[in-house]
Amino acid sequence: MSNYEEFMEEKQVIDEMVKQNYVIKNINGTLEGDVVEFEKLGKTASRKSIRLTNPDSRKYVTTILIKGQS
Amino acid sequence: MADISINFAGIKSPNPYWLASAPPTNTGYQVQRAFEAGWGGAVWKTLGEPILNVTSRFGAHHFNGQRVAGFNNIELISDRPLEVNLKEIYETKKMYPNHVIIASLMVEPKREKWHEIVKKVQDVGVDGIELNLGCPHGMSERGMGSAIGQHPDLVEMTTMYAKEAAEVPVITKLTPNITDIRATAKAAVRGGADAVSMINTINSLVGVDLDTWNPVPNVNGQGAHGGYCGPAVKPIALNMVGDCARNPEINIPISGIGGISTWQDTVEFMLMGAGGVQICTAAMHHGFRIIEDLTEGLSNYLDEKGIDSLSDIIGASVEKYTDWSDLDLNHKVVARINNDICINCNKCHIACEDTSHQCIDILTDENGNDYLKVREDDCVGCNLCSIVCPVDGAIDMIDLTPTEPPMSWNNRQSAIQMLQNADS
Ligand SMILES: Cc1cc2nc3c(=O)[nH]c(=O)nc-3n(C[C@H](O)[C@H](O)[C@H](O)COP(=O)(O)O)c2cc1C
Ligand code: SF4
Ligand code: SF4
Repeated sequence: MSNYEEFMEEKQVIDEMVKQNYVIKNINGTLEGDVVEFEKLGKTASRKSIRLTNPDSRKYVTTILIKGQS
Repeated sequence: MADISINFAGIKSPNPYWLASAPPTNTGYQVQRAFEAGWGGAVWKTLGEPILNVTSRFGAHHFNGQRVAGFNNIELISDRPLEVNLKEIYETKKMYPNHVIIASLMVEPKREKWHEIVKKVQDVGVDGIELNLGCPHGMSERGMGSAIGQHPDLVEMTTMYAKEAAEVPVITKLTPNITDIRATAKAAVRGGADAVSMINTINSLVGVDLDTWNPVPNVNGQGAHGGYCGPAVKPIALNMVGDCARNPEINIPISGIGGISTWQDTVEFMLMGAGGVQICTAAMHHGFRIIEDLTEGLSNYLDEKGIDSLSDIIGASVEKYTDWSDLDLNHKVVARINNDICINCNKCHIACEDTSHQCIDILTDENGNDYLKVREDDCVGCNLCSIVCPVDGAIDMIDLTPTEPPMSWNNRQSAIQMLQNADS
């Protein structure tokens, strides 16, 4: 898989989480990539975590985070 | 015509070009020839207790047909008595009052030694003093040159000794043979230096002879490490100048030295914060006459840019030189091949395939001819293909329109930090 295809796959997962009203609760850098924890508040509160291995998606997820914080 | 004169730490020079302290400034005869040719100033070959030299002394690194990509020497400071040098400095300054003469000095790190020599050179009318705290060979084995220049405390102390006796500006010349030149530049500031100059030569062994197995250069079959300079060291010097220029604690003028061979190099050093430049290897390679191209090219460049005075460009690029962690991670550049200019040598394809990100495809057009195309989505914009391409204009590196706001590593880390603080 090309780098771009890999990015698009991981980006889709991130976008899907955002669409389902999950917000980023934590990001942890590890040797295997960034582990991103999402949380959804409300009646069906839940936490989910994903591991991002692609460099472009690791940029993308923090860009979303910064946009959300500003 | 643009004004290319400079005022460097209070020293006025008709142009920014000074000969660095080295063989070109060994005698009055040479410095007078240089001034006649048009050089703005000369930093006299370092004065101190006359030394003894060895033969041979120089070596060069020739690369792929380019003579003197780098130059190496094991020469020490002046081997002529101080009195002879002083007489020639006096005569030369009398003949060329509008040109700059700086006395480069090196003595033992003792207060009275520095006071004595500073007063002597001052009495013959030098415009400034440069402290040679950088010579990496021979003198350093005797506790001088880079043996001083590698210790911030000794740099500060020596600068202070010179300043105590000096009535003219003192320029502390720094060695690049140190992990972080800002440490010694700051020490020079603390010692009261009016300016710093950088770089002196870099520790080097230029080669080993494949027939005799002697080091190059050799003295009766033996060699010792020397100092490296010339075009190859320019990027190292330019970074050191830029790093000092952007440091608020190093708020004194910088004389840029190291691999400067053209007016273009000069502009780069001055944009990166140098208030003037010094040149050695290029003059040794091509003679004093290069000054004509150096001054003419500089003047024309400023005229074309509509800039009246050279001083206006000093430091203009410094704020663009920052820490890696402040660079925009969201900025995207991609390579684009111009197939009408490309000669299909495939160098870019091989470079990208073997050593970068495998994103230059060889495709076939409707006439059955091969052509190359970059898969821009996969291109990381590393520049390698355009660096190896032998044809100007065959590859453009294109800045893509940003789709996301700028985000640096520092921005990213503080956003994550904020998140973690809120979560805990
Ligand atoms: C043969 C030779 C002798 C040098 N002697 C001195 C010296 O006596 N004092 C000094 O401060 N620098 C000396 N240098 C260093 C130069 O002044 C200059 O810092 C260095 O060569 C870098 O400039 P370049 O790349 O234009 O040559 C010498 C350099 C060469 C090549
Ligand atoms: S810029 Fe780098 S990654 Fe992009 S095509 Fe050229 S060599 Fe490949
Ligand atoms: S290196 Fe340059 S000339 Fe050669 S194939 Fe690539 S674009 Fe064409």
